[in-house]
Amino acid sequence: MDINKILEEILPKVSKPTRYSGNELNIIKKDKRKIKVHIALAFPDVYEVGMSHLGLRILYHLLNEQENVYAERVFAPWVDMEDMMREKGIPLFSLESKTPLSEFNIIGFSLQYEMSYSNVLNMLELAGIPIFSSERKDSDPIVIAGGPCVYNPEPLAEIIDLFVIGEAEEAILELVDLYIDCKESSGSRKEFLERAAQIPGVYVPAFYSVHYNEDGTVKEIVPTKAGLPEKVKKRFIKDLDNVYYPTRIIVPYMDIVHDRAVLEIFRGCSRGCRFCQAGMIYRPVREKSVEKLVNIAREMIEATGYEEISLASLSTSDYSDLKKLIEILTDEFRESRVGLSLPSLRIDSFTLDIARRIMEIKKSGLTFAPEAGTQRLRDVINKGVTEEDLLNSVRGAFEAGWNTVKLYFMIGLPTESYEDLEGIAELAHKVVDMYRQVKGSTKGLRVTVSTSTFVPKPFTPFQWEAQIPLEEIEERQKFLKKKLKNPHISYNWHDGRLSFLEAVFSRGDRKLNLVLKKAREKGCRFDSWSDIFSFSKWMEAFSEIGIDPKFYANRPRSENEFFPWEVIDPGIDRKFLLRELKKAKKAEPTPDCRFDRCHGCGIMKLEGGIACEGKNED
Amino acid sequence: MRVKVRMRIRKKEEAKYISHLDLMRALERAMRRAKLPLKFTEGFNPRPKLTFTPAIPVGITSDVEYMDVEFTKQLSMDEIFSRLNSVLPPGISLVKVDTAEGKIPLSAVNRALYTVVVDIGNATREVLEKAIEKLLSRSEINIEKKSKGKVKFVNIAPWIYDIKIGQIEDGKIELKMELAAGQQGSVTPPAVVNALQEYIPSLSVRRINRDEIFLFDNGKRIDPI
Ligand code: SF4
Repeated sequence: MDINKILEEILPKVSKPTRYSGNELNIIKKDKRKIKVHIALAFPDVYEVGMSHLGLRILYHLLNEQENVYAERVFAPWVDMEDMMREKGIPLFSLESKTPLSEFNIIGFSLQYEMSYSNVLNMLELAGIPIFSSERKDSDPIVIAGGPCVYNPEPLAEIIDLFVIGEAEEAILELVDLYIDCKESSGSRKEFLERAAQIPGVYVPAFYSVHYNEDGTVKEIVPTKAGLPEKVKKRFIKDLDNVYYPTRIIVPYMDIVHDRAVLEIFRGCSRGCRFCQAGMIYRPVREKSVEKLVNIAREMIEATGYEEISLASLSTSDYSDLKKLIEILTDEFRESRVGLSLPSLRIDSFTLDIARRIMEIKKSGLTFAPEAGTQRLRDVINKGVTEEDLLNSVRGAFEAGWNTVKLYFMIGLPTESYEDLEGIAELAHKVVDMYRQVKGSTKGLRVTVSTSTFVPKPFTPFQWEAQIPLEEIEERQKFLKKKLKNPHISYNWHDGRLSFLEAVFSRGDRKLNLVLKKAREKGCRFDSWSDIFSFSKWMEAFSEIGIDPKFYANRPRSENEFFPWEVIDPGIDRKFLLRELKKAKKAEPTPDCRFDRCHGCGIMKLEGGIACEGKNED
Repeated sequence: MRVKVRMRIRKKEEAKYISHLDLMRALERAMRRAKLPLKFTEGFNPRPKLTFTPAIPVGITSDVEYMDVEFTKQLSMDEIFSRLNSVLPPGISLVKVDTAEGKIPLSAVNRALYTVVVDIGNATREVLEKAIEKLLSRSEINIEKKSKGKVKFVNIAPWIYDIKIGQIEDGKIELKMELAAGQQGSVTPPAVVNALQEYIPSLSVRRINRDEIFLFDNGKRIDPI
């Protein structure tokens, strides 16, 4: 089948055809006959979402630097394209060479959020690859996955052949070498998977069996082959300053979600917010040097012509040399009008100064994330922001000329009461009052309050906690809607039903694989797109498989319950997490260990313990 | 200093699905890669000063996408050409660079020539000739047009100046269309093809290219470059 020829016919008929046409600047094309491993990097969402993802871009260019390897991209086709493909019998194909996915050696999925799982299944289906690992033959591709979701791989353990846990830059090359080696000997997937399971950071679920307790909880997950680790340790890059980072990156034609050059300034975070999984699993903190970053930025702009650079990290203001970095970058790009954007910037007096500098070049709204409405609850979640800090920064921002402020909160946090919700509304009104105080009137002011619902995540102090029931989520949203009636305040909330499903899958176990398959059969896909999401189909899938989703989302766990994700070792001690949970219950904060003593999170024990030396564990 | 330069750009097969907006963005980025001394607008959100000829629908290649751009320094046309052409994305290339001074403004163009390759299935050439003849003789061809969510009917008949049958190659027929393309009115080949399909339902389009665009005034043709 000549896919190119059929595309000629169908692309003019679908929305946003550049999602499928490829040919962007800096794309990599290779001769398929001259390589040894053909890898499809698959992102289970549409092009403009997937292309905005840094990890995918790093791996794409890193893999293509290898002479033996050809890495191509594939995204989930939007529903109109999917219909066309099914109608014409076109299998899912790669963007670069338009090769059907089933002809690749390896397919690597990037799992960024649970609600993309149905798309993983749909993409396999569209590619004609068996959904379950056990059904795949030697001629089928090896299906691997990475990304933050794989810290709990179990809900996909029967679908994905092999998970890469943690930062993949090194492990993926080891896997490629192994693949070539195996191809030259037996070529069987069994041999490859057996040997791959020996690579640190690689989890091959087929070689681990799950045992359950009578109450349905997991008793243990044990390796079924000799020589395999009981827990798979995550991989991480020790020397971030010298790790590969692409500069000649693809520049999409169409407008993607984050259409800019991304400069990763550091990985990890030591603030220790108790709800935040990223803050735990990406430890230790490792920074790139200013010199390195400036060079990367320069090369990137030269190779892409982007009009904006965005600094990426979990918390931009924590970069130790932020002021210097921004000074150099603004000087460097003043003439060519390349703007800087600083997402996840904690706004305080110091960063406000920086924000003003950036405004010389570009103006955008300011974002604050107090996460909870009262000091008590902020202490519970260890979000070290006080109302005073916040209002001072807001005043500074208004004085500097901003008039758009976004406030992010979470509802349903452990111990939350209606008093805390009231606090959200009060804070928003105080922001409005502050504007009136600074400007004399409220003309031009726009305050947006957004709430998401707390989802308890593996490897956080709240992994033992229950999510509040769905009805209660909706009740609390209603309450806020009423309290936030103000012409200058708009209120957005995240669909509670999605948060509920996220809570199911983020702490799910292996039994959920069947639910996923069932949901897919019912047509679930693009669940994070509200116009396509069907909650009732999901509920039908649960009930037909005979699984109660509330068991996963709304059940508080006992202190010594074994968790399905504990087959993975992210380097964070369970003891530390439990300590933090108990402190949370007492609304006792834990200061950032960068400025305080070490709190013994355990990451030091992980191979080498490079990051936190000089600190004494408590 | 303010130097206004006009460029003629070609949008080829590899880039035919990109929209007008995508093309503008791609060119702006290419000029930054080429380190051309772009002049920017003032204010919080500085943009380079660019103007273009009328947009064409997605899926059409073009030999005549014109862009005017302002620079802050005088550079030779050759230098601009070579610096920019070497960094353009696949599917986009420069045809010519010239000063914009003394030329018609790009907003003045009102006519374009297209090559439209069609497959007429089992219809004959005679049938096609008849159909074109009929179409050209009509004073009213109303088509639906959506603008700002509302559907309205527009009469495209006065904007179809000519359709000629050109070469025939393995069953495909090349049509040369001369159509209005400008602020006073415009129609693009897909709409004309739709109208032809009323007479020949088996007709389908294989390829469309915009070949030329110009100002036609008092029987005289003036090209942007
Ligand atoms: S080991 Fe100690 S210093 Fe290092 S991140 Fe954990 S708590 Fe902080």
